[in-house]
Amino acid sequence: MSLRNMQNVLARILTDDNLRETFLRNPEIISQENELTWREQESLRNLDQERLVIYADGLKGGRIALVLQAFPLMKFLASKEIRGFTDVYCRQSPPLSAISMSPMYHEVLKFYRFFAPLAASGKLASKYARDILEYEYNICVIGNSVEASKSAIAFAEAKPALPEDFTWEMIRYLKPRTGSHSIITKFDYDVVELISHLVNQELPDLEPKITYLLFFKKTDQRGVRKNKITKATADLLSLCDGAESIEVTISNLTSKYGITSNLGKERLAGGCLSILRELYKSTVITFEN
Amino acid sequence: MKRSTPRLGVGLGLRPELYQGIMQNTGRIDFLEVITDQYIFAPAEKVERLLEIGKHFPLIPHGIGMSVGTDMKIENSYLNNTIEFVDKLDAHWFSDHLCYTKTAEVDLGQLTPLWFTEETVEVVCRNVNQVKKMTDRPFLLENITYYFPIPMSEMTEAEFISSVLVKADCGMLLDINNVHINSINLVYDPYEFLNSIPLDRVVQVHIAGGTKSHEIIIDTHGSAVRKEVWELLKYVVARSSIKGVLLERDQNFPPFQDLLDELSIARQILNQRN
Repeated sequence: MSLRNMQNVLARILTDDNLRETFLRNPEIISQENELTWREQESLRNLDQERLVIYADGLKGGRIALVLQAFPLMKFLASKEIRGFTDVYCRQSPPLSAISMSPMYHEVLKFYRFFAPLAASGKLASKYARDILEYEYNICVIGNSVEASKSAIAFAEAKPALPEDFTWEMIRYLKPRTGSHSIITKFDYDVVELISHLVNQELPDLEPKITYLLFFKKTDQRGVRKNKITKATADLLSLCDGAESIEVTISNLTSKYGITSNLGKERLAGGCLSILRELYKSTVITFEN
Repeated sequence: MKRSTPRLGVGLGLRPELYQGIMQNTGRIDFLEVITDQYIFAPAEKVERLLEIGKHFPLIPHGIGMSVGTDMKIENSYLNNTIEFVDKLDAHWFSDHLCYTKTAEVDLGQLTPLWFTEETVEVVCRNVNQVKKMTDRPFLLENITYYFPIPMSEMTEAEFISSVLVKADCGMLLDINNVHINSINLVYDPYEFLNSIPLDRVVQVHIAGGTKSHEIIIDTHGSAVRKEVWELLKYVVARSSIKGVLLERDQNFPPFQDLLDELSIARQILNQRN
């Protein structure tokens, strides 16, 4: 058990700033608290402290460098600012061992959990930070998640159950559902236009413009699809949770928009049918009994 | 029954930035090394795309997260997924590092040095045996760079490596750039080091370039191979029957022709033995 203790202590010294500071001031305390042999205690006491600190700082920097590979546009937009948060990030998001997940993906989740609130509350300098972080996070999750991959496959396999030009009668009592292979996000800027500048290393000055994007995976295509959608489509998709039938879903949408006239309801239903056909064709939604 | 290891020649680490150059020069690269950890928990289609590349090159999986030096069993899903991946690639061999990268609670995220003791040798051998029970494909261990030795060791690094390789009866991936870097950072003679390890167990070699930082050299894989490393490669080739030389380049990518030129040098050195 002792070697295990030694490794645990050293791993914690390398990754916990507070513990390391305590250790560097007084190695005896750490050694004695951890049931180490005399030899192990001596070994830790005699570590090259200067190189230990360099290595520990490198571990922190390495985490940020690794995760920014998955956020290249955030790196362009806010690399220096993000690196300024390294110590706080590493303290609040300790490098806990992940099971059945790649270290990169694990770090992506932690990075998003830490920086999303900062970006959303305007605490990062760039006005585009929130949008770009959401954009790149969605691509990463849908592109790399095994669940998203399986969901896309399942929806593609279910697709032949209905013809692509289905009618109302065919679906009115069925329950529409999205899967983990799609995400709808509302952006503050025209993020498609924004990205077209950022990938060329240009920083545009855009006016705010609410834009909805649908991110999804298709089994017959590489990468993650990103389609601009209308607010109406976004509203419809948000109701496709497998809980209610199409009939009830459209009725809920009608209420949401305050539509009371029969003509208005018919037009909404017609529009939704068209949208549902496109979404079904793209395997973004499936229908369940 | 031990599988034989065929002579592959010279290879390159597969990186997205190098993909186009690699596919345009299939006749000048003998094999590709792929990072196991990028595939074993990824969606199936990522492996399928890799298998398409595998129609043009033998693929050799090289892991970074097995952590054979950690005093606990190798995590089941990691090991099972690695073996499944290695089998899918029908790899001639696969490898990971002689180090530890995690404990039960902490993921260090970097290859961290081991304490050179008998107890650590036993731990590594136990974990290597766990791997060997799952497959008869040769499993190699790579020497790492390290910037702070763990004091009060019972043996030298060379003795530690030798003991592990012999007791675990496994092969070695000799990273010659790491030997060079350690010899500078830790002040020892790289040739003495090479003379002290069982070169007959070396199956594959890594070569790469490093970067100076804080008065030490860091193994960045971000520059050209240094003259000293070429000399060390010649020394090793003359004394072992290595099956593959792999050039690692992970950042600061030069024109692809520069990498092909380095592969040519490696091929000339490898062929000199014959």
